[in-house]
Amino acid sequence: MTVAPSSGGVEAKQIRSDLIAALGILSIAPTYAATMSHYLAFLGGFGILLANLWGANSVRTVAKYGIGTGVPSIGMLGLGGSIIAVMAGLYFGHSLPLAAPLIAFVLALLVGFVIGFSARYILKMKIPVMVRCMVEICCAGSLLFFAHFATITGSIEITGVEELTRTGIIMLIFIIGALGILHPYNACLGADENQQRTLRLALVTGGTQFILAGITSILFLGSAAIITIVVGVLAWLVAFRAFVRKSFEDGIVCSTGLIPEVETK
Amino acid sequence: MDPITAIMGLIIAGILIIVGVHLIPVGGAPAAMAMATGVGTGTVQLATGAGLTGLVSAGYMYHIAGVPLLYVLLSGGVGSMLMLGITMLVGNLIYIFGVGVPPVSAKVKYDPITRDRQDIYVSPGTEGHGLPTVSYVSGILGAFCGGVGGSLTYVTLHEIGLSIQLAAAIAIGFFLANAVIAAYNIAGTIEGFHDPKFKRLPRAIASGILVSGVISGIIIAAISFAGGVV
Repeated sequence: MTVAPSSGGVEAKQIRSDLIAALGILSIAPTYAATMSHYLAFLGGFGILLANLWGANSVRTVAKYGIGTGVPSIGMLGLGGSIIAVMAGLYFGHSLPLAAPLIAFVLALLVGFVIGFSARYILKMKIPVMVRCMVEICCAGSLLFFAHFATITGSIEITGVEELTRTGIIMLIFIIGALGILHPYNACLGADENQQRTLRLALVTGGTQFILAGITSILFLGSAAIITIVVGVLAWLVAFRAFVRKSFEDGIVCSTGLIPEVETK
Repeated sequence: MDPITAIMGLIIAGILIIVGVHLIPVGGAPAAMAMATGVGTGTVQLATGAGLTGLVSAGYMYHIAGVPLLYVLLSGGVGSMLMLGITMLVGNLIYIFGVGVPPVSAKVKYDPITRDRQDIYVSPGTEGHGLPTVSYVSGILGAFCGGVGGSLTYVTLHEIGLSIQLAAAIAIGFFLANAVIAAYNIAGTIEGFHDPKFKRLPRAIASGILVSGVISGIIIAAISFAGGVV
């Protein structure tokens, strides 16, 4: 097939970071909705998608400066910081479970700020957006954790989360969350990287987490988990189609590894 | 365990993790192509691999063997040392017999431990390759520090009243936060304690104290607020 020329040099239209951040914060709404009934737990999956999108966009913003240790480190750092905020938030909110995500969000903000501040001003990294992005990644991580809790157990109370830690599922959430946030930019980076393609891949990784959360929730929700899995597969398919189409549009995918005939003549 | 001791324990653990990460020879992507000295992967992966193995061995000693605290920490260190030692040994086997390069450092003219000449063995266009003796020894020391730091985190968190699983989950988060702070200070590759970048260590320790202090403060405050329940 012939390959369409890439937009080369022309700056693709960017979605503003503030808008994506707002979408990410909105992910708290489906998380709360998911706790109302076991049959509504699938709504938490949309929380996963939105929080993941926010985290991936922040990773993209900060990693563009070149952090010297590879993109994966920042995803792990973000989720490592937010797991502490999430657990502390659950303890602070043990008598008022609905407040736990908000408390965790504020604590994640604090942890992210301290990490970003020390990286920017003590380690003297020359990345102006470091503080903002670390805060964003930690906050997105905390929202992602709660969206997973709501999808998997149908509640955001400490007893449900204790069950998740007892069975070790918390580490599954940790690693798929970290990969979901770090993978989009890590896979798309390069001279031809553009925000639209990276964010579509973020939706794909979010969809994967949606499905995995659905499979895990069989343990807690029984038959209601099927709804999560089906909706997750649909979300993944839509996102994956969009991502593949965008990749073809940008001309980074050839159907064979050979140089197209048009160019060899 | 009273809160002040716990916070102090976590800060010391954070410093140990940061020192450990600085000592581990990390080559990153260039080392994966045998173009830089060190193991061919990122700081975080190496440090986490070693630290978490230490956590597992310390957890076993703490809960099942029933030995004093010092032995628990030491076994964490030894677990880490084994993990990183094997990684570096296999890495060296691949570099020597697979890629066909001698383990050599490009940062020093003579190996500080064996006094072997280094510079004449460095392939042109590379910054050394494989893991020379000094890097290997440095890596083993780093793994020991990281392992002791990781197990100290876990033991402290468990002592203040967290369940086994929760303590492990938070210890991993704490370990990663400190390891990445150290990785940012290194910015890519380091060969070990003989590398000029090792002199940047005090800055990383300062930021480690800040980050560990805030994180441990949050954890302790949350647990005291909930009345120490698990």
